[in-house]
Amino acid sequence: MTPNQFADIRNKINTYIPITDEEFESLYHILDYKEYPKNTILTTVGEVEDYFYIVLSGFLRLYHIVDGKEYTTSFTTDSNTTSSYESFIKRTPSKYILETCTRASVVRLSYEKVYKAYDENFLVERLGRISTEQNYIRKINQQIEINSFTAEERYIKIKNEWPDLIENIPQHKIATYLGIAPESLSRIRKNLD
Amino acid sequence: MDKEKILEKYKIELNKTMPIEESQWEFLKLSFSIKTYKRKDILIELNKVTNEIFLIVEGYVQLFHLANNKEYTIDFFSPPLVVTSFESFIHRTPSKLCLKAITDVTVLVGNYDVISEAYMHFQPIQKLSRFFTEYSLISRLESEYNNNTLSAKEKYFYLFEKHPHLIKNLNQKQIASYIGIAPESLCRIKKSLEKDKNMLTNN
Repeated sequence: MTPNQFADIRNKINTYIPITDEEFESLYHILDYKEYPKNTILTTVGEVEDYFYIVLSGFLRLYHIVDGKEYTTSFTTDSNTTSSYESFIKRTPSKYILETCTRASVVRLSYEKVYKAYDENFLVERLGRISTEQNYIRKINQQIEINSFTAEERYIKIKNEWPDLIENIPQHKIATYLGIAPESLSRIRKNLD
Repeated sequence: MDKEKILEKYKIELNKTMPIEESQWEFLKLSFSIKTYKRKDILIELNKVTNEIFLIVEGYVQLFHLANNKEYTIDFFSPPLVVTSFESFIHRTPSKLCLKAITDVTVLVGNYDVISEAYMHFQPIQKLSRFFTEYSLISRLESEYNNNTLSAKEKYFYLFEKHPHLIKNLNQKQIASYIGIAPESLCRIKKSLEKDKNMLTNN
Protein backbone atom coordinates (compact mmCIF):
# COMPACT_ATOMS: atom_id res chain seq x y z
CA MET A 1 0.00 0.00 0.00
CA THR A 2 1.17 3.52 -0.76
CA PRO A 3 1.16 6.15 2.02
CA ASN A 4 -1.83 7.81 0.33
CA GLN A 5 -3.90 4.65 0.30
CA PHE A 6 -2.90 4.04 3.86
CA ALA A 7 -4.13 7.52 4.80
CA ASP A 8 -7.43 6.95 2.92
CA ILE A 9 -8.25 3.88 4.97
CA ARG A 10 -7.20 5.57 8.16
CA ASN A 11 -9.48 8.54 7.34
CA LYS A 12 -12.38 6.24 6.63
CA ILE A 13 -12.00 4.50 9.96
CA ASN A 14 -11.63 7.85 11.66
CA THR A 15 -15.04 8.94 10.42
CA TYR A 16 -16.46 6.01 12.39
CA ILE A 17 -14.35 6.33 15.52
CA PRO A 18 -11.15 8.22 16.32
CA ILE A 19 -8.29 5.74 16.64
CA THR A 20 -4.65 5.98 17.64
CA ASP A 21 -1.65 4.98 15.48
CA GLU A 22 -1.21 1.92 17.62
CA GLU A 23 -4.81 0.84 17.17
CA PHE A 24 -4.60 1.36 13.43
CA GLU A 25 -1.50 -0.81 13.32
CA SER A 26 -3.38 -3.56 15.12
CA LEU A 27 -5.80 -3.65 12.15
CA TYR A 28 -3.12 -3.75 9.54
CA HIS A 29 -2.91 -7.54 9.26
CA ILE A 30 -6.58 -7.88 8.29
CA LEU A 31 -6.54 -5.20 5.57
CA ASP A 32 -5.81 -6.46 2.07
CA TYR A 33 -5.33 -3.77 -0.61
CA LYS A 34 -6.42 -4.66 -4.16
CA GLU A 35 -6.85 -2.97 -7.52
CA TYR A 36 -9.21 -4.28 -10.18
CA PRO A 37 -9.89 -3.38 -13.80
CA LYS A 38 -13.39 -2.40 -14.93
CA ASN A 39 -16.03 -5.18 -15.11
CA THR A 40 -14.28 -7.63 -12.80
CA ILE A 41 -16.66 -10.06 -11.11
CA LEU A 42 -15.70 -10.26 -7.43
CA THR A 43 -18.49 -12.58 -6.28
CA THR A 44 -21.07 -14.43 -8.30
CA VAL A 45 -24.34 -16.27 -7.70
CA GLY A 46 -23.88 -19.57 -5.86
CA GLU A 47 -20.48 -18.70 -4.38
CA VAL A 48 -20.04 -18.04 -0.69
CA GLU A 49 -18.93 -14.43 -0.19
CA ASP A 50 -15.51 -14.44 1.45
CA TYR A 51 -14.84 -10.71 1.55
CA PHE A 52 -16.10 -7.45 2.82
CA TYR A 53 -14.92 -4.45 0.75
CA ILE A 54 -14.06 -0.86 1.59
CA VAL A 55 -14.14 0.97 -1.74
CA LEU A 56 -11.33 3.52 -1.93
CA SER A 57 -11.77 4.62 -5.55
CA GLY A 58 -14.11 3.72 -8.40
CA PHE A 59 -17.51 2.02 -8.15
CA LEU A 60 -18.66 -1.47 -7.18
CA ARG A 61 -22.11 -2.68 -8.19
CA LEU A 62 -24.19 -5.28 -6.36
CA TYR A 63 -27.06 -6.80 -8.32
CA HIS A 64 -29.23 -9.86 -8.74
CA ILE A 65 -30.95 -11.42 -11.72
CA VAL A 66 -34.48 -12.82 -11.75
CA ASP A 67 -36.13 -14.14 -14.92
CA GLY A 68 -33.32 -12.65 -16.95
CA LYS A 69 -33.86 -9.21 -15.48
CA GLU A 70 -31.12 -7.36 -13.55
CA TYR A 71 -31.88 -5.53 -10.31
CA THR A 72 -29.08 -3.32 -9.01
CA THR A 73 -29.39 -2.89 -5.26
CA SER A 74 -26.33 -0.71 -4.70
CA PHE A 75 -23.46 1.25 -6.18
CA THR A 76 -20.65 1.73 -3.68
CA THR A 77 -17.90 4.34 -3.71
CA ASP A 78 -16.37 7.06 -1.46
CA SER A 79 -14.86 4.72 1.14
CA ASN A 80 -18.20 3.06 1.81
CA THR A 81 -18.42 -0.67 2.36
CA THR A 82 -20.09 -3.44 0.38
CA SER A 83 -20.34 -7.20 0.19
CA SER A 84 -22.91 -9.85 -0.65
CA TYR A 85 -23.77 -9.49 3.04
CA GLU A 86 -26.22 -12.28 3.62
CA SER A 87 -23.77 -14.75 2.13
CA PHE A 88 -20.82 -13.19 3.98
CA ILE A 89 -22.54 -13.30 7.36
CA LYS A 90 -24.47 -16.57 7.06
CA ARG A 91 -21.95 -18.44 4.88
CA THR A 92 -24.72 -19.36 2.42
CA PRO A 93 -24.47 -19.22 -1.41
CA SER A 94 -24.74 -15.67 -2.72
CA LYS A 95 -27.90 -14.59 -4.53
CA TYR A 96 -26.06 -11.53 -5.76
CA ILE A 97 -23.27 -10.62 -8.13
CA LEU A 98 -20.66 -8.09 -7.03
CA GLU A 99 -18.65 -6.45 -9.80
CA THR A 100 -16.49 -3.42 -10.43
CA CYS A 101 -18.15 -1.08 -12.90
CA THR A 102 -15.16 1.20 -13.23
CA ARG A 103 -11.51 0.66 -12.36
CA ALA A 104 -11.51 0.32 -8.63
CA SER A 105 -9.20 0.13 -5.66
CA VAL A 106 -10.45 -1.50 -2.51
CA VAL A 107 -9.43 -2.83 0.84
CA ARG A 108 -10.90 -6.25 1.33
CA LEU A 109 -11.26 -8.05 4.63
CA SER A 110 -11.63 -11.82 4.63
CA TYR A 111 -14.42 -13.48 6.62
CA GLU A 112 -11.96 -15.70 8.40
CA LYS A 113 -9.72 -12.88 9.56
CA VAL A 114 -12.54 -10.52 10.50
CA TYR A 115 -14.46 -13.03 12.60
CA LYS A 116 -11.28 -14.18 14.29
CA ALA A 117 -10.34 -10.56 15.00
CA TYR A 118 -13.81 -9.88 16.48
CA ASP A 119 -12.87 -12.09 19.39
CA GLU A 120 -9.30 -10.88 19.76
CA ASN A 121 -9.51 -7.16 19.14
CA PHE A 122 -12.20 -4.96 20.70
CA LEU A 123 -11.59 -2.29 18.13
CA VAL A 124 -12.49 -4.64 15.27
CA GLU A 125 -15.67 -5.72 17.06
CA ARG A 126 -16.59 -2.08 17.46
CA LEU A 127 -15.83 -1.25 13.82
CA GLY A 128 -17.84 -4.30 12.75
CA ARG A 129 -20.85 -3.14 14.72
CA ILE A 130 -20.61 0.42 13.43
CA SER A 131 -20.13 -0.55 9.80
CA THR A 132 -23.09 -2.96 9.99
CA GLU A 133 -25.22 -0.16 11.44
CA GLN A 134 -24.13 2.19 8.64
CA ASN A 135 -25.05 -0.38 6.02
CA TYR A 136 -28.42 -1.00 7.61
CA ILE A 137 -29.12 2.75 7.77
CA ARG A 138 -28.11 3.14 4.11
CA LYS A 139 -30.54 0.36 3.12
CA ILE A 140 -33.44 1.92 5.06
CA ASN A 141 -32.72 5.34 3.57
CA GLN A 142 -32.58 3.84 0.09
CA GLN A 143 -36.04 2.30 0.61
CA ILE A 144 -37.39 5.65 1.87
CA GLU A 145 -35.95 7.28 -1.23
CA ILE A 146 -37.51 4.72 -3.56
CA ASN A 147 -40.88 5.27 -1.87
CA SER A 148 -40.64 9.06 -1.81
CA PHE A 149 -39.17 10.06 -5.16
CA THR A 150 -39.81 9.41 -8.84
CA ALA A 151 -37.21 7.70 -11.02
CA GLU A 152 -36.44 11.08 -12.58
CA GLU A 153 -35.80 12.70 -9.19
CA ARG A 154 -33.57 9.80 -8.17
CA TYR A 155 -31.66 10.04 -11.46
CA ILE A 156 -30.99 13.75 -10.88
CA LYS A 157 -29.71 12.96 -7.41
CA ILE A 158 -27.30 10.29 -8.72
CA LYS A 159 -26.14 12.63 -11.48
CA ASN A 160 -25.31 15.34 -8.94
CA GLU A 161 -23.77 13.01 -6.42
CA TRP A 162 -21.88 10.66 -8.74
CA PRO A 163 -21.24 12.35 -12.11
CA ASP A 164 -18.34 9.91 -12.67
CA LEU A 165 -20.69 6.95 -12.45
CA ILE A 166 -23.15 8.33 -15.01
CA GLU A 167 -20.33 9.11 -17.43
CA ASN A 168 -18.49 5.84 -17.11
CA ILE A 169 -20.99 3.02 -17.09
CA PRO A 170 -23.62 1.78 -19.57
CA GLN A 171 -26.98 3.48 -19.02
CA HIS A 172 -28.89 0.21 -18.71
CA LYS A 173 -27.05 -0.45 -15.44
CA ILE A 174 -28.29 2.86 -14.05
CA ALA A 175 -31.81 1.96 -15.25
CA THR A 176 -31.70 -1.32 -13.27
CA TYR A 177 -30.86 0.72 -10.14
CA LEU A 178 -33.78 3.09 -10.75
CA GLY A 179 -36.08 0.14 -11.47
CA ILE A 180 -37.10 1.40 -14.91
CA ALA A 181 -36.65 0.28 -18.52
CA PRO A 182 -33.59 1.65 -20.37
CA GLU A 183 -35.97 3.43 -22.78
CA SER A 184 -37.60 5.28 -19.88
CA LEU A 185 -34.18 6.41 -18.70
CA SER A 186 -33.40 7.67 -22.24
CA ARG A 187 -36.59 9.72 -22.14
CA ILE A 188 -35.70 11.15 -18.72
CA ARG A 189 -32.25 12.12 -19.99
CA LYS A 190 -33.67 13.75 -23.12
CA ASN A 191 -36.12 15.80 -21.04
CA LEU A 192 -33.30 17.01 -18.85
CA ASP A 193 -31.08 18.18 -21.75
CA MET B 1 -46.85 -11.79 34.54
CA ASP B 2 -43.93 -10.71 36.73
CA LYS B 3 -40.67 -9.38 35.34
CA GLU B 4 -38.73 -12.58 35.97
CA LYS B 5 -41.20 -14.71 34.00
CA ILE B 6 -41.40 -12.28 31.11
CA LEU B 7 -37.62 -12.21 30.89
CA GLU B 8 -37.27 -15.98 31.01
CA LYS B 9 -39.81 -16.36 28.23
CA TYR B 10 -37.98 -13.80 26.14
CA LYS B 11 -34.62 -15.46 26.71
CA ILE B 12 -35.94 -18.75 25.35
CA GLU B 13 -37.33 -17.00 22.25
CA LEU B 14 -34.12 -15.08 21.71
CA ASN B 15 -31.94 -18.16 22.05
CA LYS B 16 -33.82 -19.79 19.19
CA THR B 17 -32.79 -16.93 16.89
CA MET B 18 -29.37 -16.04 18.27
CA PRO B 19 -27.56 -17.63 21.18
CA ILE B 20 -27.02 -15.19 24.01
CA GLU B 21 -24.20 -15.40 26.54
CA GLU B 22 -24.88 -15.20 30.25
CA SER B 23 -22.99 -11.89 30.66
CA GLN B 24 -25.02 -10.32 27.83
CA TRP B 25 -28.22 -11.57 29.36
CA GLU B 26 -27.32 -10.14 32.77
CA PHE B 27 -26.75 -6.78 31.14
CA LEU B 28 -30.16 -6.85 29.45
CA LYS B 29 -31.82 -7.84 32.71
CA LEU B 30 -30.20 -4.99 34.60
CA SER B 31 -30.27 -2.23 32.02
CA PHE B 32 -33.45 -2.77 30.02
CA SER B 33 -36.88 -2.10 31.48
CA ILE B 34 -40.14 -3.81 30.67
CA LYS B 35 -42.84 -1.66 29.14
CA THR B 36 -46.25 -2.36 27.67
CA TYR B 37 -48.12 -0.47 25.00
CA LYS B 38 -51.68 -0.60 23.78
CA ARG B 39 -52.63 -1.28 20.18
CA LYS B 40 -52.12 1.88 18.07
CA ASP B 41 -49.72 3.45 20.59
CA ILE B 42 -46.70 5.20 19.10
CA LEU B 43 -43.32 3.88 20.31
CA ILE B 44 -41.14 6.08 18.11
CA GLU B 45 -42.33 9.48 17.00
CA LEU B 46 -41.59 11.03 13.62
CA ASN B 47 -39.17 13.98 13.59
CA LYS B 48 -37.98 13.45 17.14
CA VAL B 49 -34.62 12.05 18.21
CA THR B 50 -35.07 8.39 19.11
CA ASN B 51 -33.63 7.57 22.53
CA GLU B 52 -34.85 4.03 22.84
CA ILE B 53 -34.21 0.63 21.34
CA PHE B 54 -36.90 -2.04 21.67
CA LEU B 55 -36.69 -5.79 22.01
CA ILE B 56 -40.11 -7.19 21.13
CA VAL B 57 -41.27 -9.65 23.80
CA GLU B 58 -44.89 -9.97 22.77
CA GLY B 59 -47.06 -8.59 19.98
CA TYR B 60 -46.35 -6.82 16.68
CA VAL B 61 -45.08 -3.39 15.74
CA GLN B 62 -45.00 -1.58 12.42
CA LEU B 63 -42.06 0.55 11.25
CA PHE B 64 -43.12 3.03 8.58
CA HIS B 65 -42.46 6.41 7.03
CA LEU B 66 -44.60 8.99 5.30
CA ALA B 67 -44.11 10.31 1.80
CA ASN B 68 -46.54 12.39 -0.24
CA ASN B 69 -49.11 11.95 2.54
CA LYS B 70 -48.95 8.19 2.28
CA GLU B 71 -47.77 5.56 4.75
CA TYR B 72 -45.02 3.19 3.57
CA THR B 73 -44.32 0.17 5.75
CA ILE B 74 -40.62 -0.67 6.02
CA ASP B 75 -41.40 -3.84 7.97
CA PHE B 76 -43.37 -5.51 10.74
CA PHE B 77 -41.48 -6.81 13.77
CA SER B 78 -42.37 -9.67 16.10
CA PRO B 79 -40.58 -11.40 19.01
CA PRO B 80 -37.65 -11.67 19.61
CA LEU B 81 -36.54 -8.97 17.15
CA VAL B 82 -34.87 -5.70 17.93
CA VAL B 83 -36.17 -2.48 16.44
CA THR B 84 -35.46 1.22 16.57
CA SER B 85 -35.11 4.11 14.16
CA PHE B 86 -31.40 3.34 13.81
CA GLU B 87 -30.22 6.48 12.05
CA SER B 88 -31.92 8.71 14.61
CA PHE B 89 -30.82 6.55 17.53
CA ILE B 90 -27.17 6.44 16.46
CA HIS B 91 -26.66 9.85 14.85
CA ARG B 92 -29.04 11.76 17.16
CA THR B 93 -31.00 13.16 14.20
CA PRO B 94 -34.81 13.58 13.91
CA SER B 95 -36.42 10.25 13.08
CA LYS B 96 -37.68 9.73 9.52
CA LEU B 97 -39.45 6.62 10.78
CA CYS B 98 -42.39 5.99 13.05
CA LEU B 99 -42.93 2.86 15.14
CA LYS B 100 -46.49 1.91 16.02
CA ALA B 101 -48.06 -0.96 17.98
CA ILE B 102 -50.22 -3.19 15.76
CA THR B 103 -51.42 -5.23 18.74
CA ASP B 104 -50.92 -4.72 22.47
CA VAL B 105 -47.18 -5.19 22.92
CA THR B 106 -44.66 -5.95 25.63
CA VAL B 107 -41.12 -4.76 25.03
CA LEU B 108 -37.76 -4.55 26.74
CA VAL B 109 -36.55 -0.98 26.36
CA GLY B 110 -32.90 0.09 26.33
CA ASN B 111 -31.89 3.69 26.60
CA TYR B 112 -29.32 5.44 24.35
CA ASP B 113 -27.14 6.71 27.21
CA VAL B 114 -26.99 3.34 28.92
CA ILE B 115 -26.10 1.51 25.71
CA SER B 116 -23.45 3.98 24.50
CA GLU B 117 -21.90 3.85 27.96
CA ALA B 118 -21.85 0.05 27.79
CA TYR B 119 -20.12 0.10 24.38
CA MET B 120 -17.18 1.83 26.07
CA HIS B 121 -16.82 -0.48 29.01
CA PHE B 122 -18.53 -3.77 28.34
CA GLN B 123 -17.49 -5.61 25.18
CA PRO B 124 -20.08 -8.42 25.25
CA ILE B 125 -22.77 -5.82 24.56
CA GLN B 126 -20.85 -4.59 21.52
CA LYS B 127 -20.99 -8.14 20.19
CA LEU B 128 -24.65 -8.63 20.99
CA SER B 129 -25.46 -5.36 19.30
CA ARG B 130 -23.52 -6.43 16.19
CA PHE B 131 -25.49 -9.71 16.09
CA PHE B 132 -28.77 -7.81 16.32
CA THR B 133 -27.73 -5.37 13.62
CA GLU B 134 -26.49 -8.13 11.31
CA TYR B 135 -29.84 -9.83 11.74
CA SER B 136 -31.72 -6.59 10.99
CA LEU B 137 -29.58 -5.95 7.91
CA ILE B 138 -30.20 -9.43 6.55
CA SER B 139 -33.98 -9.16 6.98
CA ARG B 140 -33.91 -5.77 5.28
CA LEU B 141 -32.02 -7.27 2.34
CA GLU B 142 -34.57 -10.05 2.15
CA SER B 143 -37.37 -7.48 1.96
CA GLU B 144 -35.47 -5.54 -0.68
CA TYR B 145 -35.02 -8.70 -2.74
CA ASN B 146 -38.72 -9.51 -2.42
CA ASN B 147 -39.77 -5.97 -3.30
CA ASN B 148 -37.80 -6.27 -6.50
CA THR B 149 -38.89 -9.71 -7.54
CA LEU B 150 -42.31 -10.62 -6.12
CA SER B 151 -45.60 -9.57 -7.64
CA ALA B 152 -48.15 -7.87 -5.37
CA LYS B 153 -50.03 -11.17 -5.07
CA GLU B 154 -46.85 -13.03 -4.12
CA LYS B 155 -46.00 -10.36 -1.52
CA TYR B 156 -49.42 -10.84 0.02
CA PHE B 157 -48.78 -14.58 0.27
CA TYR B 158 -45.32 -13.96 1.68
CA LEU B 159 -46.72 -11.78 4.47
CA PHE B 160 -49.32 -14.43 5.19
CA GLU B 161 -46.70 -17.14 5.40
CA LYS B 162 -44.15 -15.17 7.41
CA HIS B 163 -46.59 -13.66 9.90
CA PRO B 164 -49.81 -15.72 9.93
CA HIS B 165 -50.90 -14.16 13.24
CA LEU B 166 -50.01 -10.67 12.22
CA ILE B 167 -52.13 -10.40 9.13
CA LYS B 168 -55.44 -10.75 10.98
CA ASN B 169 -54.49 -7.74 13.12
CA LEU B 170 -53.79 -5.52 10.15
CA ASN B 171 -56.26 -3.33 8.33
CA GLN B 172 -56.38 -3.12 4.51
CA LYS B 173 -54.43 0.11 4.47
CA GLN B 174 -51.55 -1.37 6.46
CA ILE B 175 -51.30 -4.48 4.31
CA ALA B 176 -51.44 -2.38 1.14
CA SER B 177 -48.71 -0.06 2.46
CA TYR B 178 -46.49 -3.10 3.08
CA ILE B 179 -47.05 -4.52 -0.39
CA GLY B 180 -46.65 -1.09 -1.95
CA ILE B 181 -50.01 -0.90 -3.70
CA ALA B 182 -53.25 1.09 -3.34
CA PRO B 183 -55.87 -0.41 -0.96
CA GLU B 184 -58.19 -0.84 -3.98
CA SER B 185 -55.63 -3.04 -5.74
CA LEU B 186 -55.38 -5.15 -2.60
CA CYS B 187 -59.17 -5.63 -2.75
CA ARG B 188 -58.83 -6.92 -6.30
CA ILE B 189 -56.07 -9.35 -5.26
CA LYS B 190 -58.15 -10.69 -2.39
CA LYS B 191 -61.19 -11.10 -4.65
CA SER B 192 -59.18 -13.02 -7.22
CA LEU B 193 -57.80 -15.25 -4.46
CA GLU B 194 -61.35 -15.89 -3.21
CA LYS B 195 -62.34 -16.87 -6.73
CA ASP B 196 -59.38 -19.28 -7.02
CA LYS B 197 -60.34 -20.82 -3.68
CA ASN B 198 -63.99 -21.23 -4.68
CA MET B 199 -63.00 -22.88 -7.91
CA LEU B 200 -60.84 -25.34 -5.99
CA THR B 201 -63.62 -26.23 -3.52
CA ASN B 202 -66.24 -26.56 -6.27
CA ASN B 203 -64.04 -28.97 -8.19
